[in-house]
Amino acid sequence: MNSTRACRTSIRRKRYSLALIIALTSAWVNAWATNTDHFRLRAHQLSIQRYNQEDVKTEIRFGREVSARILAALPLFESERLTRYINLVGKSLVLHSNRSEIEFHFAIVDSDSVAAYSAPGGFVFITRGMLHTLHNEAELAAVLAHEIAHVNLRHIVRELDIKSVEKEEFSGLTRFLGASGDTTRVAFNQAVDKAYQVLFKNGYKKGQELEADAQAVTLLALTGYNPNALATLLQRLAKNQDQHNISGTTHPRFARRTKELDLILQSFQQTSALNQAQQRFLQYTSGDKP
Amino acid sequence: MNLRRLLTLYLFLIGFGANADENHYDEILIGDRAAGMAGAYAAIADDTAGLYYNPAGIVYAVDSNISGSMNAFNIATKSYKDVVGPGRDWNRVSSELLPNFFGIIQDFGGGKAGFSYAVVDSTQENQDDVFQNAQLPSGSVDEYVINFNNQDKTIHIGPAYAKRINDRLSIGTSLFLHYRQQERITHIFTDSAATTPNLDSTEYASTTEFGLRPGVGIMFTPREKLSFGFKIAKSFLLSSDYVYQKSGPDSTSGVDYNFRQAAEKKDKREYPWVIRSSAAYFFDKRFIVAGALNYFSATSDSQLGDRNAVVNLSAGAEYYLRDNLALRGGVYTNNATTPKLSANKLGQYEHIDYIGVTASVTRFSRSNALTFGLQYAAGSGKAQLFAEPILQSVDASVFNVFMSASYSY
Amino acid sequence: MRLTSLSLLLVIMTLGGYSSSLFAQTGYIQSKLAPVFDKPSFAGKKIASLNRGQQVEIVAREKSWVNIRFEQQSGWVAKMLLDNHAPLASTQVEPGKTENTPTKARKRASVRASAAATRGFSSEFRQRSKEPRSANYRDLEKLEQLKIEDTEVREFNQSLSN
Repeated sequence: MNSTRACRTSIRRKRYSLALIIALTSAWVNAWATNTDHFRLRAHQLSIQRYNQEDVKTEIRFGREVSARILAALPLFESERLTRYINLVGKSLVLHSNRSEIEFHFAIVDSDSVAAYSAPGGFVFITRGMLHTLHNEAELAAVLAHEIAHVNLRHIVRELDIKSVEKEEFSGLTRFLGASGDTTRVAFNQAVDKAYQVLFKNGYKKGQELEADAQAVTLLALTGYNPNALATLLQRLAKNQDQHNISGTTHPRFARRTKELDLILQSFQQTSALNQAQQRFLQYTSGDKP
Repeated sequence: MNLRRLLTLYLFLIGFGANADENHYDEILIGDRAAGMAGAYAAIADDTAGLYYNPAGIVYAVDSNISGSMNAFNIATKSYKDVVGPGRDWNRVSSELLPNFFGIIQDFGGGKAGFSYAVVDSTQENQDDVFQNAQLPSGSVDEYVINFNNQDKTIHIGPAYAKRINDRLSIGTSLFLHYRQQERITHIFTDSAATTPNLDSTEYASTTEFGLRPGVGIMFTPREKLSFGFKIAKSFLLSSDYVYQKSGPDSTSGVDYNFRQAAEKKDKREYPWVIRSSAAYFFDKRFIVAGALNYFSATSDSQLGDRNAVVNLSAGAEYYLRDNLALRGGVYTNNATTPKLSANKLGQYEHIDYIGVTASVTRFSRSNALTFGLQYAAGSGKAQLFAEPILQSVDASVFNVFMSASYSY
Repeated sequence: MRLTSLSLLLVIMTLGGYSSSLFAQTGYIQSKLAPVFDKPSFAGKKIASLNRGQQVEIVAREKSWVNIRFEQQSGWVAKMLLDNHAPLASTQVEPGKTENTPTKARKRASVRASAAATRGFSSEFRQRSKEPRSANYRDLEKLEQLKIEDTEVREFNQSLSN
């Protein structure tokens, strides 16, 4: 009789210990709610993933070529006052953006279409037609912020793998295996063509557009503009698109974009800066309204 | 000195103790990064070496990768003490230059696919000794000459595939072809005024094995920075061809020098279950510490007899001095599968337990990496070279210089 | 006995799991201006404005905000403006140079060139090059020549909150 009771106690003790182990293990496993593999990356991998100064120079050179192509199709709208204004707005946004190493340039192009473009290296273009549709400075900032975001997020650079040539001694093998001389020149020109296609024909990937929207809204709030301006503008553009045939062909459906923006803006709660600077906008644009 | 005793002595010499590599499982460390960390790698395994240590790890490889490594200089020595008299040792040296690993990983179908070639065991053992007035257990001979050459190479080659199950778990599987080629030639010559005829005997043995080695691995990341890896594998032989020839005197008449014995066996050796388990902690982007426990199950077959289960431990660390320069170090055990010898039994295999240290350094550039490393292991144990209830002490050491290169694309 | 030691091991590991990581993390401000708030929200009060390259200590992360410690203060900064290495130096390229300097479109350029050929891209390219494939460098240079002082931009931004 005694042995059975002892046996039962021993089993009970084992069950409790097992329960304790399971409880502790699950508590311990849940100590970190999310898990990324980022911790596995070693120092050399992180530094390789980073873009260095040579890469940025290459990006700027590439961006200049793409910009020259854009300007060939859409020449500059010559208004010193307006150009200066959009540069002031744009550069205010750039002050608060993570890629502070490049100098952004903003320009107005002479076209009735309602559009904005950006090239790698910090070249941002906005059409006359787009300026027409804007109601206040916050909306202008919204458009510029979206284009700045495309550059910050290196969408075209990543897509086309724009990087500088390795200068290391024992990468001779790399050069041998890779492109050099005429082939690089051809590849470069083809890359410029491809960038032009992204901007004027195929558009960015849908995910990239949404990503740019998300960063644009943060950029607006950081700079002190009303982050809702982007959503408001998109809604209006969507309505206009139904009425006129506006070049919304390269963008994902406005509905999807505004839906995503609403989600993001909800997490912003109330921002203290609801600036739209409408007065200043009208001041600058009424003078020589195109 | 009785010739007959001399012959029986000789007979047993060949059968046992000569094939040292059948007695260990963790001889060669594969892969530059893994070897530098003494093989404590199954919880890291996020590059081509993962194809060997734990295929589940390759899902964490950043790019597609191709790499190869080799033992640029390898020297293993074994010294059997006082074999033919006090202070007169038998020395066996194995040295070679061996490209021992090649691997490639690529994205495929939502996971990662890989292919690898690994020389998991390689021996090139040589002994050339001439002893005057050799004192053997059964008496002495005026001159004793031994030429011994043993080559034994085992290769695992094949594909692997791995996939993530969720953000904490990945699973991988590999299917290797197991190929082993072993060849051993021994020539013994004795000359003694006291006995006629003298012994002049040659023996040849070769084994060719083909088999399949399936393996399954998992990698579990219960929380950030902590990784556990497990891999289980076993070689199943499909064919084994053992050829044996001996020419020498007939053990009874002592006269005939024709080919006396020949044998062919198809018995398949039993390879053990191999379970690699490892844990690694990734402190930050510069520092990893890892430990591993490798378990090899006991085996029993007609070729090698009964072998014990073996547990080998290893521990290693990797530290980045700079963003493009990493140092690694580790320590490991390589224990014998054979049972410990006892003085009153006959026909026992040698038993040597090794402890080793490793160190390596890697220089990274944008898409390639070069590694240079050293491995040193020392061990001691017992052997039974003759068909006499006597044991010899053995001191052994292994020294390896390895290099490797890898390329990301 | 074994169960007790195993549970003890797990208790230790659980406690370890809830402690912060072994090494403190450093972050660097990437933007010229980085507003720091008193809570992880734009509705919070702006308590400081950090500059480019400033080193801060990372305390915690919450969604798209990072809790940092700097100069005996602590606050929340947008994750976007922080990175674990110093920002790159200001980079410029001399304008007025037409481009044919070699660039590596990675090592696969030759592969891409031939692949593009098989995909018929180069035929499209050939077609478009029938029209003059022009580039407007004059307007590009005009665009690049416009320089605005940093102070003027900051003033312009400041007057937003007035």
